[in-house]
Amino acid sequence: MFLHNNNKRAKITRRAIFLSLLLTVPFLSVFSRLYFLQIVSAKRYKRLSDKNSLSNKVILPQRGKILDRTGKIIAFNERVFRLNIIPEQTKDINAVLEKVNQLIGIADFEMVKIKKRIKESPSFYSVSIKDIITFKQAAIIEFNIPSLPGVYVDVGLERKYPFKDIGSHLLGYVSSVSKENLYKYKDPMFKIPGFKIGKRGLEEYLNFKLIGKSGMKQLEVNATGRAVKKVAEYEAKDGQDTQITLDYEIQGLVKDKLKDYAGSLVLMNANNGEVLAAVSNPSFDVNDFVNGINEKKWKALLENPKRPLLNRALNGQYSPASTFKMIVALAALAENEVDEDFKVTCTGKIKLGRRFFHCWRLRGHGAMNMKQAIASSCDIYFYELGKRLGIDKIAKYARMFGLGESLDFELFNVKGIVPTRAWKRIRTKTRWQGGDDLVASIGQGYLLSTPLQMAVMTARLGTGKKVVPTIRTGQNLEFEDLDINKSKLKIVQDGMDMVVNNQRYGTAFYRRSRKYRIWGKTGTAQVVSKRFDKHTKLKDIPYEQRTNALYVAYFNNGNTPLALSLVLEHAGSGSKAAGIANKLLDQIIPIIEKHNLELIKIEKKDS
Amino acid sequence: MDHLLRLSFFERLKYQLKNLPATFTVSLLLIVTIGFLLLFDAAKGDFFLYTYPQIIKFILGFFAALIIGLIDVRVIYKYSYVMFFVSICLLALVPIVGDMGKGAQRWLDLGFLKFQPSELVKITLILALAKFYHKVNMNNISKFKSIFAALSIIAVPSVLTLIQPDLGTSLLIIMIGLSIMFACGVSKWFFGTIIALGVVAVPIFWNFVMYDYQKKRVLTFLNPESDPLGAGYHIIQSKIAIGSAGFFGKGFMQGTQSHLAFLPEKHTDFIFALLAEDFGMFGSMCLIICYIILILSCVKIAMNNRNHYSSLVAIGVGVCIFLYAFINMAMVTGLMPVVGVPLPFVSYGGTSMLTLMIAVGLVFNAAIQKEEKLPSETRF
Repeated sequence: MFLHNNNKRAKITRRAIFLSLLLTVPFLSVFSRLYFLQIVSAKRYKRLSDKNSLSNKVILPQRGKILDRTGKIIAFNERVFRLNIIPEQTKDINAVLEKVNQLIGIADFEMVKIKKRIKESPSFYSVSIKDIITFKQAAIIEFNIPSLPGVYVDVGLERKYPFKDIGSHLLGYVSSVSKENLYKYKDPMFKIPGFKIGKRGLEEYLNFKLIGKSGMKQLEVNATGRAVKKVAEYEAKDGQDTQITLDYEIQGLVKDKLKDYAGSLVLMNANNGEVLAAVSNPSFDVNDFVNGINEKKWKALLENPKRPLLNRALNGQYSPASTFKMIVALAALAENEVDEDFKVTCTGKIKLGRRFFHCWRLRGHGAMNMKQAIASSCDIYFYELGKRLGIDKIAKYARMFGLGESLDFELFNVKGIVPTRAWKRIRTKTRWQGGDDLVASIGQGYLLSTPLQMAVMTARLGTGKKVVPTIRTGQNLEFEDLDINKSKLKIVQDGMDMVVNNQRYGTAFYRRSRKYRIWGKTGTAQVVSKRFDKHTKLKDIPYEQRTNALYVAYFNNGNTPLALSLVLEHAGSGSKAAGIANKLLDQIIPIIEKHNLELIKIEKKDS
Repeated sequence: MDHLLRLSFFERLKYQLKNLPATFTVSLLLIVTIGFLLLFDAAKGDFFLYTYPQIIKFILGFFAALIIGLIDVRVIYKYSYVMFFVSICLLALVPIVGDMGKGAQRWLDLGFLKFQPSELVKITLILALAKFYHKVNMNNISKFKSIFAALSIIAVPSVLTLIQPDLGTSLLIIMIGLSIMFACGVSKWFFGTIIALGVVAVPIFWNFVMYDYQKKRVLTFLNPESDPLGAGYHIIQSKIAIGSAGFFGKGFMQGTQSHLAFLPEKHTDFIFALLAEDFGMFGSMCLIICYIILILSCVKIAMNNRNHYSSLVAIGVGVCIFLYAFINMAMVTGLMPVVGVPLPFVSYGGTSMLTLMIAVGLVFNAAIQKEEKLPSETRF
């Protein structure tokens, strides 16, 4: 019995030891599991843990202001008030909303939307009651805040353009990021609903300078998403205020003058290429676009036959007409086809093949030399030059003066057309004809140019330098000389002088400026190949068939030589445009002189 | 106990308390202290939420354990079968009058307290099996008759828990039973057969016995990411909490996952993840070492005891604590499917603390009365 008992005892002891050894295996597996989780994969789980519990709240930077050359604010951020409610801070949400309704009024359909939003989001999330309220409404709410638990007013910023429809094409606007473009941006602020970026014009071009960098508030949140504490905060970097070369006093003046026309005026400093004004009329109020334009306004803009959305200054394409004659003259001189004394006798028409080509002056100009031909804009003289030169040589000089190619400008601008033989063959599948040379030499036919190009052309003609337009201040660009003999250029410049200041020949003499000696060239572009009797009154011609009135002008004013181009659609003759432009220059030049003095003062103050 | 009869009550008490197992008690106190700290942590510094009730329960339980330790082992021995029978009856009552909880009926409401008979039955099973094997002759221990009888004792509570349905507890009961059979020397061939049968039984169980929620648990265990917000949520969050802690952890009360409520059941079944997050691998290892010491001291007490009955009871309790601790940690670290097993002495909860302290009392009993002999009747 004892022995048997002892035997059993020993057995139990052995088994117990075996069992305890056996138990270590599972514990070892827990050990190794902990090692795997906490040491080997620690980084991965740390990341997952942060993802779980840290929520990054983006702090938005303030968009930089846009200023004109004199420091006028043309785009800024206005404080707007927004009314919100945090549902969990109130016991009876409906009563509170009803009170708000009594105070400032909430439409029924809005009320339904608000209640839906409240239902859909966690009770500690802020829900917007009204996106924009006036200062007065905000004051009423603030006054009654003790009886409105959960309600609060917060201040947001909204882009405002105080000049409304002045310069709106160039300025562009801000608008929400479209979903398709979201992937392009890294900064998380772009993903915030309602965040706005520059969509057109300068707002788009300068976007990354204006926009700044977002900051971040790192919050610790619990499983239900409620923020528990702030972990870290990185401040946002506001966008830079940016100055542009436009002068809004001039811009406004021009806009007012052009209000009855569809047209465009570009004014630039021929020395450094700074664009002082670029007006396109009709235009639109950019503020309408910031929060998405409403359908009615949008439809009206689209259906307006004068196409207010088109930025005529950069993207409107017009026959340069007689303003192109300087290029043809210069080409003929530079290619040594003729000299300044080369004379052509204008009888009012010439015959090429079986076809007659007419001068604008049906009875003819008589014998003309080059300067006289420019001054009186004699078509027959330039037909002769065109016949001698051929289109390809003319095109070479047209390009030299900035036509036919997109200009190296900050904003998108169209190419226009400077035809060549090769171009016509490819484009129309027909051969270049002798008649095409003649039509091109008076700036009609296939030729198309933009007001900006015409202003640049004028600046280059006036300075003999390869002027490139710019809209950013403080660049002090200097340009190289064009490959043109100065004395030959002088002949053309004298011709332009005579256009305005020579009583006998000048087409713009009677519309000249009485205060300043301005050079210029008028142009009257036919838009249909139909001639009207010269006694037909403008108002008797259908609007779409009236000629475009063009005028380019140059004013040599020491430091700020000005180059101007003006296009008035269907407004009649070029001398009418000359009259408007010269009158404008009478007002503009003093403004520029005044502002230049002020700018010098500002610079001195800075230093 | 005859030699003690002459002493006064207090002198006897003093003598007996001297025999309290020191290593066992110290490691137990360490574990409960860690538990109190973690409950304080889980309540975000609110002492009275979990910690205070748990301390009260532990103190009451500890006195109960001391009393059980002082009860004459012969009395416990005598009523082993009776207690087993009573607990079986309570277990059988559960499907009839029990409360529903998480899709299974496990609780019995006694008016003054709710408790799970399936917890109690683990202890009484140990007692019953110990008494059974105490009486079995060594030569007959691997005979069919005795194995069959032992298996029947195990089968009754395991089947009753299985139909509750509570697969986890059922398996736990079977494993406790088999461990005691192993400890007292049943042939190794028998265990080989059991393992082989187990492998065969798995597909049968899967198809015919397991409930959908149990299958889902196993499936989510195998791939928790398949259902990250549903059934897989617990285990993913628990792994994140543990993994993100590193070796030394995030610091006391600094754990983000637990305090920001990503970690579910952080004061009960998943308290180990809270420990692992705040104190890292270092803290977890400390607790595991405490458990190892506790379990090994149970085995040591078993080996020092003079009678088989108490030895087997101590081993049974050790295995029971081991199974609780291991299954809980394995489940929290994602080694095992989620089954509702608390971390012994640490998880918040009355029933588990009560059961475990009864078990502790039995170990005290085995240690204090190690010299006692019990009548050895050999029926088989």
